[in-house]
Amino acid sequence: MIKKELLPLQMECTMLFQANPSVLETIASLEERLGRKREDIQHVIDVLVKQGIVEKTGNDPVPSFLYKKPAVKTESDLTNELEIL
Amino acid sequence: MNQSIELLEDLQKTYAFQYDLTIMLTDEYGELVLPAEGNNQLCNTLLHQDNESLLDEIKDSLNQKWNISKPIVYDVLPGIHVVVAPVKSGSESTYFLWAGVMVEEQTRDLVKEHLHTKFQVELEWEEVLEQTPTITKENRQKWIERTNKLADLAALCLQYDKGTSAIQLPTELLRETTKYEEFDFSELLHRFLVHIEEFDFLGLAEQEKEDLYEVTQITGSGAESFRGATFSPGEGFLGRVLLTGKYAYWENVESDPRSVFFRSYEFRPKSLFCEPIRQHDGSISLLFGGSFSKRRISNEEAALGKTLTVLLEVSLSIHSLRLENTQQLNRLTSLVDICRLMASTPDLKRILFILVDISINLVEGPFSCVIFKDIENDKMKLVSRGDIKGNLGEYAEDLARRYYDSFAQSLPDHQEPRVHQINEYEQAIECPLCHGDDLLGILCVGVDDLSETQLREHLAFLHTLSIIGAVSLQLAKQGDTGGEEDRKVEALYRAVEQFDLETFAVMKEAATLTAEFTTVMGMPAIAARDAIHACQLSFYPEEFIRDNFPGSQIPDILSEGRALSECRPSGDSEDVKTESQVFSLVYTYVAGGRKIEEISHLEGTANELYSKFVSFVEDKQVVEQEFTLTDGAATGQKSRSLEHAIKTKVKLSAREQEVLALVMEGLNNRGIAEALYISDHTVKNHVTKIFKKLEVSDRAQAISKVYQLMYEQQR
Repeated sequence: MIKKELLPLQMECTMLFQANPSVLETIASLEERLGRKREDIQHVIDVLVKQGIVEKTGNDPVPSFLYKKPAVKTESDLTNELEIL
Repeated sequence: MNQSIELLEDLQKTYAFQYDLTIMLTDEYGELVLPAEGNNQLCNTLLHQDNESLLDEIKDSLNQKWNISKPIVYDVLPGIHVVVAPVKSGSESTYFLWAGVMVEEQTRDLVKEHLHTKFQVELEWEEVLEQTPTITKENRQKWIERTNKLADLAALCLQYDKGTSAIQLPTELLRETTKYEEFDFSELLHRFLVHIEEFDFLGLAEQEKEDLYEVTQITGSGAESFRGATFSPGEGFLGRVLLTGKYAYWENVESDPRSVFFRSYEFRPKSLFCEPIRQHDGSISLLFGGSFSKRRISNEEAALGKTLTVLLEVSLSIHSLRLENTQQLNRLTSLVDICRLMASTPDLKRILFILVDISINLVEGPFSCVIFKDIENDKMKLVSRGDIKGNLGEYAEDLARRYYDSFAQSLPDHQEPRVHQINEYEQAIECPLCHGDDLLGILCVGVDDLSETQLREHLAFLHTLSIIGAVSLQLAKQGDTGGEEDRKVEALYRAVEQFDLETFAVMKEAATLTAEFTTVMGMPAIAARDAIHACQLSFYPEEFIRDNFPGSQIPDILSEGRALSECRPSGDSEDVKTESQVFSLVYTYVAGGRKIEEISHLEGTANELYSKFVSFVEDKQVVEQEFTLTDGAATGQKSRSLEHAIKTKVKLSAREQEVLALVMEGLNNRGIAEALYISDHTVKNHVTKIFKKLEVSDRAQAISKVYQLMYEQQR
């Protein structure tokens, strides 16, 4: 669970990953980019991984994280189909 | 100094002068509480010796931890006597009254010799000793009784003083505990414990799990072993209070079978109180305290303990509210940042992603999704994160049916968020994304078990997010329909290039400047786009544009803007669009050879915007001129020089260098935040660190410092 005081940082990280969907970030790179404490960044990233917003990539000793796009599904005229049902 | 202490001082003086003694009051360590009073010359002389003074002797003797309950005659130095009486303050003898000094007649010579040897100062000890009262078997008891009486009076005065402090204490403690932003509970307990004399420990037990409580805080000598102890409601002394919900007090605790629980933690209280505290979030915690040495706590101390418990409860509430307030403010600030970003991002996909991601950030539920109706192909789009045990698609279909049903839309509260029970175990907050009477989509977030307060909080935040989300979606949809318009504008704009290069150059420059100015102003994306298009189509007559762009704002902007530039009225001149004012200012400025005086006639009609534009243009000029100061044709060389200077002289991090480069370009914090996709707060952090490293206090000084560094580098 995210600590209440870290929610703004969590939102900021989410928006950063979302705006740069192909950029790999490490805890250290985020620490420098956002100028926040390492342990806070680590906590936020753990929560974002749990929420499925970012995913850990590769097996490097220093883990990198990448934005995971939400699932997008298009139904052909969903309402009409429902009416048929 | 309060009245009781003043009274004690008067008593001290009266006794001292009446009986030719010097009298003083010390604490248990020999530190003076009331300074010496009286004319006993030997005593005063001994007190004023630089080395081994009388007070040093007293301190040395008290190091032996005296345990006296009545006055005694004590040889403070060989043959020199003083009566010392314990002063009972509360239950402990913490003060000592000293009255002296006296000598025995038969030992005066020996004392004189000893004083000469000990102090080795040129003093007429014989004369001093002659004036010193003599202690005899007869008067010895009288001295003791007098001193004892004075000690009793002193005790009364001190008790009265303590009683007064007991009343003042809660107010002072409350003031003290609420004064600080930072809240340290153990420090608070410690402060309280210091003021309740009969208590040896104070602690707090908080709910750890549903049926388990843990001692999370404890203070007091010998009490630390009880930290971390766990118990259930109903178990032992403390657990009982959880059941009754009422204050409880126990004496002779060690002989109660329930004390086995305490003993297992090497915690052996003899008396104990426990008070339930209702925390701000509705949970119950237990405050407890007591004594390791006393089987019974006096009524006064117990009452003070209760008062302090109430105080502690109030302090906790104040700090909890303060913390919550700060957190809410931070969350709200973040939400505002996100809403601002959504509103200025005419990108449908991005807005849907933001809605899905931020809502799961906020609620931390099992899933979040948006269903959105694509007007172009009338298809439903589902953007989701997480799942409901593989049934998200089914839920989305049900959602679409419920909300897009015409009956549902006619309900008066159909725009309000609501909680929907998906199945027996799962529920979701559903927020319709409405623009006017149009239902653009629905934002849904799964919620786990939440308290009523949490649910209310989430509903409010998601409601705000969905309102801005809907407005942004509407703007993005309008942007999408502008695709055809964009292509036509581009074609007509490019056509001018073929036959009038000069006008094309002006149009191009005006369009670029408009884009920059509207970004700095934070103008809505659609309005900014129309103003840019107006610049790109300014070659053509309004009628031609009106015929080719029916329903578009561009011909109106051209018409109003030109009327403004030419100082002629255009319809309702009171209500000229901002886009038209921007077009008029920028185009006239560029066409007039980039001279401010060319637009001075617009100051009256577009006053506020005029000032902003002039300031924007001046800032731009300053930045450009500063860059021309250095020699060398290649800008790359300059920036490399800048980079090198910063790296070698100031040691900025890579990110700070990026931020500084944007500061040098004249961007404000908001502009930098948007350029780097970070929050205003983070930019502020970076800028503050940069200023600190550069040892400057504002942007102007920072820019000046950087150029100074570059100059030094080049020398």
